[in-house]
Amino acid sequence: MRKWVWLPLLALAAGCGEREAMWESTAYGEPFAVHGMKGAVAIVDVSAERVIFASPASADELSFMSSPVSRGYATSAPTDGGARLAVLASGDFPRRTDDDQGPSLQVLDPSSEPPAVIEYPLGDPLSGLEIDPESEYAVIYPGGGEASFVQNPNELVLVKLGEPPSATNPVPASLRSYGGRPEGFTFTPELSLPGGARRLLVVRTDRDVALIDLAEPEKPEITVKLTAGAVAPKPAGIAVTDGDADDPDDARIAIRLAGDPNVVLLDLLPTPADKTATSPHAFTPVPNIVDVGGVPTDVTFGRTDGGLRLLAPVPSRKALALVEPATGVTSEVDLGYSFQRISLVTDVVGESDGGGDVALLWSTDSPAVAFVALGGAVGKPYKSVEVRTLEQPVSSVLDVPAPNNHLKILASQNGSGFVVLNLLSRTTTPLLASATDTHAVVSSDGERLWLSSESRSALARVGLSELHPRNLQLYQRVSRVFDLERKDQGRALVTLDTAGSMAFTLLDAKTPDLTQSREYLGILLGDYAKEEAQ
Amino acid sequence: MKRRCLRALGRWAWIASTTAILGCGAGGVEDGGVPGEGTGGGGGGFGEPGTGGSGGQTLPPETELESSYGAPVATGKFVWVANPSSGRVAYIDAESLEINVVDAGNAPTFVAPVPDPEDDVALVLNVLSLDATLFRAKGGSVTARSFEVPSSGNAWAVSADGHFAIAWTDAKLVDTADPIDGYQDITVLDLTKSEGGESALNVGYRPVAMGFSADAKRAFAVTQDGITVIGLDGGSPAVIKNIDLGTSLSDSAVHEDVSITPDGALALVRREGDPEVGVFSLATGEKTTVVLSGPVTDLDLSPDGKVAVAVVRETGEVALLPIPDIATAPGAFTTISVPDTTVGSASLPPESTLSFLYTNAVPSSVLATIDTADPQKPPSYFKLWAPIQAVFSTRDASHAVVLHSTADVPGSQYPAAMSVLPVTANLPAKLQGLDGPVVSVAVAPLGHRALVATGDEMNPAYRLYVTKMPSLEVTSVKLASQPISAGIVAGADRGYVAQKHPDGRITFVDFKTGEIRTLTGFELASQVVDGSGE
Repeated sequence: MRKWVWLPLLALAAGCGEREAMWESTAYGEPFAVHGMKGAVAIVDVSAERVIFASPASADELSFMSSPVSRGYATSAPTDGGARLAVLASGDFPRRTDDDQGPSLQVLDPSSEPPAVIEYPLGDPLSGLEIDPESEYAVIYPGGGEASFVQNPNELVLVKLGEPPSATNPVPASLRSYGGRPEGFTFTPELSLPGGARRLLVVRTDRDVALIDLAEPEKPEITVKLTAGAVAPKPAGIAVTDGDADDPDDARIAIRLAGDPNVVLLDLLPTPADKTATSPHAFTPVPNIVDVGGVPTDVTFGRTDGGLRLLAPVPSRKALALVEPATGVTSEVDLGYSFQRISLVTDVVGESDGGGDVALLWSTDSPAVAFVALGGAVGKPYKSVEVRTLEQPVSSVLDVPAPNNHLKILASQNGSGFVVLNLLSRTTTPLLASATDTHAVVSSDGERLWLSSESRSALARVGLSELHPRNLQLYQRVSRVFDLERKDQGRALVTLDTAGSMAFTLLDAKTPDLTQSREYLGILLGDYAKEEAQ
Repeated sequence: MKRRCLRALGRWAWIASTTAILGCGAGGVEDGGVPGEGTGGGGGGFGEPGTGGSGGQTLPPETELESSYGAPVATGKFVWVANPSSGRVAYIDAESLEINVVDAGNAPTFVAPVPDPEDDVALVLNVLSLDATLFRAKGGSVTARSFEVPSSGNAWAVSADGHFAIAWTDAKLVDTADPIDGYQDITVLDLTKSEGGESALNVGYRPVAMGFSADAKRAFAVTQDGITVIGLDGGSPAVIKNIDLGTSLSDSAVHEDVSITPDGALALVRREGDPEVGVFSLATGEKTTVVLSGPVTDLDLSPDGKVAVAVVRETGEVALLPIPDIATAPGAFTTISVPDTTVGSASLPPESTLSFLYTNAVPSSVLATIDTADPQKPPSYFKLWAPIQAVFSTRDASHAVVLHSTADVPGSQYPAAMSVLPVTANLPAKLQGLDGPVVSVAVAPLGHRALVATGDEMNPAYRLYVTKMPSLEVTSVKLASQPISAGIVAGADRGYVAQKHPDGRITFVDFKTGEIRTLTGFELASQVVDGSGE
């Protein structure tokens, strides 16, 4: 039996898997952003300058909270594994009165009611926000949407999310510029470096790379200029390795260059003795250029029984290049197909016989995936290559949390085909949808895969242990799907329809039953008296 | 017929280098004599497109560019390498492997080490700006001084005391040299003068070698017109005479083998197929003819200049010509018979009275030694297991690296081979198959290591073989690209092998730890800005 619930106050939007963190507009032109949080759906209601948290309290009830945010919403992103939401706002511009708000980063914690808010004031209104995957830092940068008359695109602000605002938090930083501007950020894991373990922020511009020491961000950054004469290679991707954890001198950063067969390796070595008196850093990046034989589309580091290697799929050669960092010696693994992306799956499948990593490669133009076991075989730099052909090339890959982390969800290019790849048995189970706008969401408990189509109001629950799809046809469109932990420890499925005034549908995620579903209508209209129809 | 690229001026000239670059001319292997130590560098220059390193499978050629960098030279602890296209010279601290780049003139191309008791000094010829830059590294900084070099050139000769340098043109290094081009212009630089110091002079037609007397009061140009003597002890350098070496009017004007005694008093001349050795007084031009038992196939001066070793392959005899007495008593020399094998070449270590005798004119695997200080002592013989091509001894002759041809070894799949021979210990030699043709050999002055670099365009088995002595352990290291030259940085106890790469590539071997490290992209390494001084 369906139940409708008219919301008492709120308006909201939707989010689905990787389509989170977008600033969208409703049919009425109301801007909004939706994030799947830990146990809640967060809706940034930009016009109303508030964030709405919708949390499933039980199988048949969503509870709502609202928290005001600053004016001039720029962007937002979850942090702390979805426990908190960071909201960047430019405030009032121009700021003419004391009541006008300044630019800030607000961090909202919905675990308390009302949500706790930490506000980090900013000097200038900036629109770009990048959250550290480990949630220690946020970097705020000019994202191109600033209202300022004059902007220095190389000014950054680093916020220590674990510390309260103070005179030293946030930390402003102005990158020395050689004509570029930030285009991408990579927070490294903790690296064992000369001078002590620390994390780095790698900033990519269109022509160079800057390293910011996150342990001492007030120090000048280290810039590695990639320009050689009139040629200005553009960094396109970053890979990081700590090497041997006990060795402070073998951490490395790989920089993939756009349209270039060269990869720049930065060996993070001790600052030379003759420069220790003047250099603010105990380490220095020593660049090395390695040619991988063709333009690589991805890079990562992996271990072979012969030691660490840079791994780079080279589609034009249908090969995987293996580069020994210390010598630059390159060998390649013939794959038979062009693969664009690579990911290590050793933590799931275990090391190869020789103690090497196992890499999964997938292709956006060939219907295949490949497992490459890095090890030693006579005359070969690898132990085995196992290719699995598919019906369609892969557009994206979803990870599955434990206990089914041996599975990967491969989305095909045509938008209707999916493959459940079992990394252990190397089986590929197809899942075929009848709509080409089908989206996939994996539950955070790793038990279920949700496939949904906005145009068809269709939803399917696929149990990842048995891969059996159970189809559901909702009354509302399914713009976003959230599989959330309920406050009563159960699991809730919350779907969002972003059409009209928006609507939620609430079901039990483990045993979805439309007769027990509850719908919350008129979300964006707000201030409606709660009504329920049965 | 035995090939010779350059044998004039004995062992005292600065042209003798740390490295032996093999395969000069149209193929074959040259007797490189005894590789020098401490300073020096190889020839080479601007090569063909490099080839990617070989791993399990051979990579395609690195097709983008020709190498911009020439062969490096080493001073105390630095390796210097010029980049003609950028106008800069990279110098690498072989201890820290820190790379720095300094500006030179237009198209810095030919680098020479300059002996200096305190500093690391190198001289580079800028071929387009017709000048030279003298770099002096001291206390972590490098100073530069320019000299005009109106003659330009493609080679350097530097006096042993670092006082003078001569820029000259070796016609053998000029492709399709016009017969009318005599390359007679040279420029003598007085490196001690803070201003001026350049002297443009003319020598005979087509010089083939250039060098200095040990006291640096004279310089000598071996040309097709004879030996041009240059006085350096006057107010300014000047040509003071030309010694006619007796070339007949119908001769093709090719001096096969000219050695000049370290004191600059005598020149010894050998011609192919001629049983006579001409001994010329460089003071008076007077000639003394020494007649031997057959055509002289090799003529070498001992490092101390006290004896010349003349090999007569036809009769199996070696004549020891006492210097300077042979000039006044041409019949007063000792003849040693070397029976039971064929010997046509001699190789004299710098700090030993032993002379290595062998032939590479016919397949012969027997190496003989005689003691020039004890002519009564019968020759010693070492039976090796492949035909000998060349011998490279340690300074004290305790060990020798012997290169072999495998063309006449039935059933061998190796394109080349080498033996490491413990000469004085009288133990069996270790035979090592090589995966590619030998490009360069370098022997450490301490005699504890030797480097053999292999691989060319036809056989891209790019490898560096590191030989430990006295253990005779040989380890092989893959190289990422085609080697140009190997060398020793004695002050850092490292060896290196420079390789073809558009951005510059060099691989260092730490003789203490065995660590291998390749540096690629010298200019890039100089583009790290760490905030020093900010």
